[in-house]
Amino acid sequence: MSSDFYFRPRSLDEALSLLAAGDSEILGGGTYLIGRRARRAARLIDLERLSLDYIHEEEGGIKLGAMTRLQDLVDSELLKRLSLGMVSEAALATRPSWMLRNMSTVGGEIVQRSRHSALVVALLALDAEVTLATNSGARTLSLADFDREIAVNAGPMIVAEITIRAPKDNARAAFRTLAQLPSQEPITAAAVRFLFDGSKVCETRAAIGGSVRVPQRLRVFERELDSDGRRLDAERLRDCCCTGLRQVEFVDKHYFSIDYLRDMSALLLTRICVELLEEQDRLN
Amino acid sequence: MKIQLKLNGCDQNFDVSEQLTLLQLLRDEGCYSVKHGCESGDCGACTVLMNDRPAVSCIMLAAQAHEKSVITLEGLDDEPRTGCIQDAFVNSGAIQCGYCTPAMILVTRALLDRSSSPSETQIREALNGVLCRCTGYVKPVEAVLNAVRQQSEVTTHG
Repeated sequence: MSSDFYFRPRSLDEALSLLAAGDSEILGGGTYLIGRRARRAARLIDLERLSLDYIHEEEGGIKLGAMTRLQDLVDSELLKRLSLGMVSEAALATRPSWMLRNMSTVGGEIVQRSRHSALVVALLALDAEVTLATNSGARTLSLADFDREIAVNAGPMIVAEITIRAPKDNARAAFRTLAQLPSQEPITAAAVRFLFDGSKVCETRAAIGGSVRVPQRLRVFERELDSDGRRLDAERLRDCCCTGLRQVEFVDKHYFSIDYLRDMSALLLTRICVELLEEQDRLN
Repeated sequence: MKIQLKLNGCDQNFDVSEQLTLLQLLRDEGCYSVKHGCESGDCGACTVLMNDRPAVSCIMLAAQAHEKSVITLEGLDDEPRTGCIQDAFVNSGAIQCGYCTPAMILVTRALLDRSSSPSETQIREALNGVLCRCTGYVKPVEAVLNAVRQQSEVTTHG
């Protein structure tokens, strides 16, 4: 098979060389790229042959190859155990269609940064790291810094691997979406991970997607919770949610006002937190 | 560009244009069970089994199927298990206009390959990606449940 348009490199170095030539797009599963005909580049670089489809347990965490299909994330018992159930659940919510889950890749979800990607929301709350292949070697950075990296680094890079650290024993996490129908993209999606010291929260990670421009960490919300030594109750949580979401830029959607999206996101976030606190109370 | 794939069990070579989708190739080859719907992967009418996993062919280049197995409903015509599923769809009244039916049958077959006794929730999750504007999904879900029942009776009674 030879072509001036479609390439199937056999190594990351070869893929980077092709990418460096310019006017090229990386092809993962193709669910974003092929459907978007108008934006086709002069060349497509298919990563299919790079053996990047794997889920490994390694050094107290999980490594996901960038070409791992979302359905494999849904099916993985290892992920259910080591990602507090969030990744599998989020992969299912990201692509309700089984057929699309068999095609979409975790790397593609990260690169596209679609605001509807519930998977990216869950990975952000789990403090996932991304390993990039570049001409100067592999580089690993926090997924939360990925946007900034793309903005400042003009050189060719390929998302090669995603790392999720194994949860500590005192970690609890939950992920929820709000959608009109199970088959539709979420109106809003939120994920929270707490580290507990007894019944008190000592570290928070929270992320939101669906109704914002790109999935993002809620750093103000996290700081509000973490700086408060008091035990959280429903009223305090509502205050933190409102403060935490005040700075977030929501995106207007058909039928839903910005105020509605902000209120529903706060409600979803509060519910997740209450659920996690109640679960911790039961375990204590 | 030249590609080779195992189409419905037969190794075949094709000379395709670089931007041809798998859907277009299959219909050009007479696989009319693969329906042309949305071209964005949303309706699922163009579902095929790619390496035994259901996938939509409208947002996949033919080149991406190089060296893979592609099965359409035409390739399962003589298979008793598929016939059993088709009978269940007919007998349950799960077919109206029929446009989504080939995709529903393929998805059902792939589901039963994964689990011999899927729950109703699993059935609904599996059929989720196939858009049906006629039935409201009630009858197709019943049809799959009936196919599961028939399959288990065949297994039990030989």
